[in-house]
Amino acid sequence: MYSELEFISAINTNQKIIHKVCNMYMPNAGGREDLFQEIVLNAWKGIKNFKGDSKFSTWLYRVALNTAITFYRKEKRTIETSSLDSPLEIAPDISASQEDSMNAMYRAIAELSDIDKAIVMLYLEDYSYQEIGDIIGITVNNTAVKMNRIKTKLKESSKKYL
Amino acid sequence: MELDDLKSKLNSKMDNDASSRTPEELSTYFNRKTISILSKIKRNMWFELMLTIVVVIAFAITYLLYSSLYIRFFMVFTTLFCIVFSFYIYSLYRRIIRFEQSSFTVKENLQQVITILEKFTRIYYLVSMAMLPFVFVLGIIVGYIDINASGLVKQFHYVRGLIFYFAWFVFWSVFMYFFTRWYIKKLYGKYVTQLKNQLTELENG
Repeated sequence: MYSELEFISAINTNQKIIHKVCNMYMPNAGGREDLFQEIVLNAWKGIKNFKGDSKFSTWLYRVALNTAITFYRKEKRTIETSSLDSPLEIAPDISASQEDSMNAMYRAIAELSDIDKAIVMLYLEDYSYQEIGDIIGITVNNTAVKMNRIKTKLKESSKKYL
Repeated sequence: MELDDLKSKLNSKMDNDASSRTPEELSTYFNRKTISILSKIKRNMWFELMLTIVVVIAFAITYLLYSSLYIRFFMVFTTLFCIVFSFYIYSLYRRIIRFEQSSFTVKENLQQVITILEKFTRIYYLVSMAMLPFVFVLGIIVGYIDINASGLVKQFHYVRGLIFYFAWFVFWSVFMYFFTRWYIKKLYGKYVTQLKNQLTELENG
């Protein structure tokens, strides 16, 4: 059982997860702030039933993704662009061509559906297919099939940004 | 370019532009209101429960003040209706609280939200429609009492009056039917459709 202080400390340590989810799903700064707050509040409501049978970060990912996917967005989905659309600040050790590729891939990810974004995010975090399946609620095979489809889709759609 | 080639670099850049919150800032979030649809529904339910209690108390007072059998009959039925409605709303309210405290998979979470929204919109629609007969009966009772009290009872043409009242009621019912459907769709229709599409995407592999 987490006390308020322990919970805040755990959120503070893992807040990058919430930032990632907010950046992935929210197009504007105001929306990201609202979503951030909503995720923290939902995590606080749910922490009572967190038994520690998974890592806190995995549990937080689950809460954050559930909140983001069901978060009501007033903007029209068709014109919605995520913060992923803005070019990345690339580290100086990356070549220009690699920088272009990263930006292209970043934009391609922004075009994915909310469910596919969640799968990609977990994949980039190095979660196994089993773990991704457990968080999303699908089988390992289904996760693998989806991931392959997503990779092909990203490969194709990132080309148009190069 | 493959996703795997950029995996680690993309992951480390996903939280760019993120300004870290201090523990003090994080603690202020606990005092804020959630803005999710379910939280809004939960607040509405709480308001409806309080309103129902006020209505039941008001009806109890009316029951004691008026000796008219019709009025008393109407009050008892309406109170019973309110009590049944309150129990349903309360059970749904408890369900939302249980849902908020649980950690579901993304798929289960979508199923839960859709079920709660559908149950809420269904009861909202049913109550709106069930209120129509109450309004119809109340209109007749009040009209009857009013005509008797005004001393115009001998000049009043009951058949013509009832036909007029019935025609008005049919018009009102049709209007309420379409208005309620439109209003529910406007409030939750698009959102539920979005959630259902996401669930279908998950279920279809």
